[in-house]
Amino acid sequence: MPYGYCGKLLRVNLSTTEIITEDIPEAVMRKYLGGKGLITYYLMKEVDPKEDPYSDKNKLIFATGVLTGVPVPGFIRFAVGAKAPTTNGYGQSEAGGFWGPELKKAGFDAIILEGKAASPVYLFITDGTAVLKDASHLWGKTTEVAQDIIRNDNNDQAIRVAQIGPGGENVVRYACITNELKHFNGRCGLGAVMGSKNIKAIAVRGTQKIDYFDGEKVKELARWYNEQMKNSPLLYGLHNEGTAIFVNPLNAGGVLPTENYRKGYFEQAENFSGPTINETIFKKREGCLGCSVRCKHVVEIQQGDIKVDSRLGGPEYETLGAFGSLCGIGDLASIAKAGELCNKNTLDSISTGVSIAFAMECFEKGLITKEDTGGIELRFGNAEAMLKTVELIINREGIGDMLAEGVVRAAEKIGPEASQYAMAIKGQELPIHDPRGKLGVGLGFAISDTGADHMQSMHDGVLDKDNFHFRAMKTLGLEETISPLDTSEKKVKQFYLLQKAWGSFNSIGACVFTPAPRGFLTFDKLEVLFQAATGWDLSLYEMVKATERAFYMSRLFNLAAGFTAEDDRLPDRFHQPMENGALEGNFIDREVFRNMVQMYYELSGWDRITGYPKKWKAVELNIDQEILGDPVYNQYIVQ
Amino acid sequence: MKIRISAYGDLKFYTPAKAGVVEMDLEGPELLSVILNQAGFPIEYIGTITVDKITVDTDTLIDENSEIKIYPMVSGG
Repeated sequence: MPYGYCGKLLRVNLSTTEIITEDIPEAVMRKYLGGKGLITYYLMKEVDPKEDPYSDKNKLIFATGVLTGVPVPGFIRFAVGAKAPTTNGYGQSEAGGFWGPELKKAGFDAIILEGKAASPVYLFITDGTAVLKDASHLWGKTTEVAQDIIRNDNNDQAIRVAQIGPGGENVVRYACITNELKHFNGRCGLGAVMGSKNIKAIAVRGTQKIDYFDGEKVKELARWYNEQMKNSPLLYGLHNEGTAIFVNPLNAGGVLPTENYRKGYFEQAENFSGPTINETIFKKREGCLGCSVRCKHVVEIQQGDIKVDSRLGGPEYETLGAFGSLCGIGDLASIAKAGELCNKNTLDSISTGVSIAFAMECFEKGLITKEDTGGIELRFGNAEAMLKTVELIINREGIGDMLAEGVVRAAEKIGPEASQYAMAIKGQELPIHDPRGKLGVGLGFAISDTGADHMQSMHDGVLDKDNFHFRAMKTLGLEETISPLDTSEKKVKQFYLLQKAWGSFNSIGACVFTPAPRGFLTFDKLEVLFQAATGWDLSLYEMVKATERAFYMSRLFNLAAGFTAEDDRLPDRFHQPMENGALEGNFIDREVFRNMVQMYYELSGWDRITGYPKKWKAVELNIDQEILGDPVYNQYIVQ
Repeated sequence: MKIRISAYGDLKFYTPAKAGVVEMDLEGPELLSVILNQAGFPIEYIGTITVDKITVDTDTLIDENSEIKIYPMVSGG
């Protein structure tokens, strides 16, 4: 009997409606640690890297981490993966909330959805059993409506629901998956995969207890953590303002992406900052299951032309930036409304905002006109136009149909001149951070296995002084503080180590805010938690190796899908000077950045020029013989 | 001379009642690093500092009526 996890996977064939339970061997769980690691394991075994993401042969995999559900704040996350519609490569995205721990309490660590349902269905899982139910009455419903119906239909208001809204049903390429209406597996278009399979939701109700090896020790760590929260500045800001806390510092630092990343400073940023939200539309603080940080800030607008429903949560930083500064908009109500529309219809707010900003720049440059936009004056600063376009994207109407395919495909339709304004890497739209002020983040954007991703590593601005965050990383080998603008090999090493920390969390099921280097739970305590929860004498070294293994494997998947070293790059805009702000004039030298990417390859055990993984690293990481012997993959493994 | 420091984000923690503002009386112009130290702010957690909307470093000399704003280090997540 395992501790901390269930050792069970639910396999659901939507075409045949067959549902079976499989064992996950302890050796597999320990080698891959759940979450990202487990998804990568199954994806490589079962999905052809050249498969069409919308094909019934693609598989949608939900995986909790081995520590998901542990009562220490932040250990609630789960990951979802598939062949991604956004990049046409490896896709994987994490979410917090309540659904992950509930799945474990229902007796499963992971779910694989394969095939395609003949008509809309939802999966209902309770304590060791699962059944497919008709979802024809749910199809077309926004998420808050659908969740209510599912709970009422099954006479249980405690059911946790992961679902897609109309955006996913309409297969908007960057549609996402939500749970509990406010938590999102946001990137990679995994909601579009779900929509393509005609599955509306996975509803879970679990009442079983998760057994821990040393339950008392686990509780002791949880109490210790909550005690730290009471009087420490480390997470005070996130508790007090949510992720909106990032708006003012990023703007002051000249790295708040503005007008499609042309600029780094927005005069109206204060209008949608944390303090302004707290003073105006803030309703209450919420959090994920058992978390005392409570960084989820719920907003409500009941007066005026724009109404925002508090059930759908509130705009996180990325949403604020995507519909705010990126589109040149300073009206908080409009930004909050855009976020609410994305949430209830499950569109990734990052990709949606970036797609609209792209269209705004094309409009200003005359590449698209009012004839293309259906009469909408789609310019930077036009909040009404922005909101209208969000709705068009949800329903794939008018220009929304083109923008629903993402900026790269939209640019291909508009014409060659548009591609310079398409801010995406490997097909996925950029998050709301400017790498000209954070070179580590920029490196993460370029080499990420899921396309542009701001969650590859802790952001380097925090580590240029001798503070708690820096000292916490010494355990992993970080030896000196480094400026966020540094481009040396030391910066690459810093990024590499930080990526292994955050990458580990994607497998084990931890939020990046609560463990070190961001939060209190330092790595020594994480080892204690591992032992207490699972009984494994798992070291930090083993955890880092498991993470390196997942990145090695996802690299192979992407190479086999058709990516090359040429795809590990930044959009041209970042090699041009920033137009305003504290970093006005800053740009990233192309050759210097290429050297950074190549140094990352070397640190990863990959060929410096091609980025192909090396054989010796496969041996070190104990990559499965199944992969090493598979010609689909081994053609990319070099000596 | 009177000066006012506005603190943002986590740095509000170090201000009276965590309200985000510190007001101080100084005898005369003083280095920003000294002022921040006297006000109780940990320099190792401060990112951008602006004085009258201009980005500065801690070696800046501050005189009366300066509007000082301090922000935490540039982060994200």
